[in-house]
Amino acid sequence: MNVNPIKLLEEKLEAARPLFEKGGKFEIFFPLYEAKETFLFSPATVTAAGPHVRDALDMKRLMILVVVAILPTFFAGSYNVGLQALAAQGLPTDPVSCMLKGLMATVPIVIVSYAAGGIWEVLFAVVRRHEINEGFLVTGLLFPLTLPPSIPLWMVALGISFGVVLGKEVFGGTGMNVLNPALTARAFVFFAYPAAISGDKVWTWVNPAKDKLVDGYSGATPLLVAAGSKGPQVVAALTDAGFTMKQAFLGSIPGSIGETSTLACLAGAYILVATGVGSWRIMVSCVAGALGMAVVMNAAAGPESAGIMFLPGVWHLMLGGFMFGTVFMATDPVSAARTKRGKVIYGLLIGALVILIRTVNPAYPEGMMLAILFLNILAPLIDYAVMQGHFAKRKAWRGASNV
Amino acid sequence: MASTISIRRGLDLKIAGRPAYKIVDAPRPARTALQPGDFRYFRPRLLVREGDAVKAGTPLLESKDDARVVLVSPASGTIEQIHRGERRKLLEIVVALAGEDAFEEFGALDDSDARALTREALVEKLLKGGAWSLIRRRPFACIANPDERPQSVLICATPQDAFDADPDLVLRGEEKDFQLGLDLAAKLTDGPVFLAVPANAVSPALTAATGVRTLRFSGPYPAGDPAVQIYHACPPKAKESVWYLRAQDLLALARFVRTGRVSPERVVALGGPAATERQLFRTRLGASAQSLTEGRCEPGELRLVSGSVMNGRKIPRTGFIGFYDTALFALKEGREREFLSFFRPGLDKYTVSSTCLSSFLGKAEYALDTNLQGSLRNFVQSGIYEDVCPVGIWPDQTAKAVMAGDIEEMEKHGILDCADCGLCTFVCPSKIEVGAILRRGIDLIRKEG
Ligand code: SF4
Repeated sequence: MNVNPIKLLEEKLEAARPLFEKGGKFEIFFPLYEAKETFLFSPATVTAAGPHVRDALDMKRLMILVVVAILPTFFAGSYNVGLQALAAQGLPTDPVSCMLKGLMATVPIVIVSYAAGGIWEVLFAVVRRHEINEGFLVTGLLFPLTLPPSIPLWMVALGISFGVVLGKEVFGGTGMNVLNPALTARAFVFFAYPAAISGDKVWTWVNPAKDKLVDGYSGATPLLVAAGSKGPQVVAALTDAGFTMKQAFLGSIPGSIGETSTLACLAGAYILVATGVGSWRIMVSCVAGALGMAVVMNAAAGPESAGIMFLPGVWHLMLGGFMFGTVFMATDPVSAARTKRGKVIYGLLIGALVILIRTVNPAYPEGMMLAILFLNILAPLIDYAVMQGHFAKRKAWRGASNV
Repeated sequence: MASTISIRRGLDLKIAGRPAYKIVDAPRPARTALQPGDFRYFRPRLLVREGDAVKAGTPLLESKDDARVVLVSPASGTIEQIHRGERRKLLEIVVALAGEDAFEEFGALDDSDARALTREALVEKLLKGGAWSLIRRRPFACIANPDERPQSVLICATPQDAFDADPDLVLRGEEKDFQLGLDLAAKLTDGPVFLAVPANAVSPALTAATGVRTLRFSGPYPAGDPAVQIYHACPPKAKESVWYLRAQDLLALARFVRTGRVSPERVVALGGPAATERQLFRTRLGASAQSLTEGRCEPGELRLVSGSVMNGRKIPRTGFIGFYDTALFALKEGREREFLSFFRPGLDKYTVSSTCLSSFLGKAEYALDTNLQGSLRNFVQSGIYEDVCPVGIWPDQTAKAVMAGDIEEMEKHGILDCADCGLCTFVCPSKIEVGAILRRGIDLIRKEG
């Protein structure tokens, strides 16, 4: 007999449906059933009225594509976590060891993020009787990648809970939130446990108390080095500390798990832009804003200024969370500006603001998170302003085009 | 002198099932129907009862707002059924055809007398014979108000989409009546009459028309829609209106004035992926769908759409073609489920975005069905809606104004220009009925304003 296992699964799921529908035994778990079932099989829903046919793109495909775009940063980041940890202990850094060591650090963090956040997702879906939003697949992966590899797992769980509940669910779920939930989660950890996520001790996955570290190991990120140096010789200071531009581009520098490799971020950017899922307007204007502001800062720097004032814009793009934030965080369609011109303004302001925070406040060299969250809040205002222009143009056109 | 207008925004519908470019006679339908739902904002008062004998041209309904506006029977026979829906809403008045057509007579006129009619006399004649309902107005896409003088009139002689009956073919041999129609239309307005034709029109009825400003329209769907054409050629100023007729409706109007009888002939295209014999049929106004689809569609559960697949009305197998519609579209109901659909590269999926492999190696045509292709979510993606909107609206932002009930904001967005083309709904990855939300906003303006 020839039984198609897929068909069988479909039938089994269909048979279980009444249990979860209104009046069924497990009625309150319908969102869970829906999520699992529509995850496996595309829904059989048909259009109610015109247009009678629909585009094949849906939220699931959209979000899965974002996850795919994030994966290069996850793997490049994991590799680098291993590399940094092994190098700090003077152990051999062959690719396999680096990757394995790295994954040992990153996989648990990602699993905890998905599990803890997932519980909240399901809880809210069940209580509110709405579907489980695919957006969580993205949030649950983005958040851990912004963390240092040494982050305690309970902080991951706490952070993602904060991000999901206060960053998203209190607003009414994906699509209604004002702030980027992954960044909200990170901001929570940053302000609640600053020691775990800043300074120069957290970026390498080693235990200074136990592990024997090589001489000269510092653990500082290049941004910290740049911020700590004085005067125009900032690039030399970076080189002295062992940071070349090539390393910064490839990502073999200490930093948050997913943020170190500019190359991996660009690979993600390529996927997002080629599929049209992520806004190139936001990415390009973010970069332009940062480069522009860096030129201004370079010009404003005096001989006594901190080294980071002299740092060329290109370096800024490759250090810290800039590229990761530009590609994956600033482009979150829900918390970004929605109008086209609005996106350009939003991106420019993020880029400029990051450099401003980095240079003017060297005590806190990583400004990407704050810049994006701040612009998340401003985005509706930007859209409002852009819309007024749109209205005025429409009105003028109407007046001019009449016979 | 013809000028060309190319519409940039819209969507080339890569859907299978275009009808062949030829007209054949369809069998005479056993039933035709008048469907009050075809007339926006028309509040009907019923003038007949089931079992009444009627002639072609006998008034069946009058407007509760203006008793001069009547809708007449498209055929002679008996009122077989008056079909009501929820809250006793009138849905269909079905006329069973009997023998040769008998007509109500409204007075024949020869060509020169018809051209000599005054505006008042013409309006009165059209109202009496029910031909007034052929004339619609923008904004609101409802029957024109006889007390109003439109800023201009647009005659839409383009097919709505690639599945519609192309007036360029239908009007061949109808040059005289069509020209008479154009001359009569000119009486209705102090402004210009625009004739919108396909960019590659060759039929003399269109290319040799006089007394009008001919506009050649090119571009993707919905460049053939009168609302889009009006928006680009002659958008109504505040408080003003533009009237419009589709080509076959103008032809019917002219024939009515000339013969004094209602003119029920219509050419309707049968198309769509589930239609097996796709071509144009010479049939009647309000004909039963079965008279065209019987034996010409695939078996299985089908959806029939009167009008365009993008914004037409879903009708049952036993339903009737809409009053202004010249196309019937057949497609499969898409209840098949796909295993791990979003993990697939999507070679056979049709999307405007670039999220499926088909976007890069795509086919020319897809045999689409009615599957929603996802489930309902909140608005997430942005920037995709305005890219397809043919009338420069930002649909997602406008929908938000509607949901907030902010009429002023809706109007600033230009909601009254919405052509109801359905493209913003089509592309929405959150599967939100964006266009329907906008229509709700327009209804609200109509009610409050
Ligand atoms: S708003 Fe939507 S339905 Fe209206 S014209 Fe634009 S795309 Fe078409």
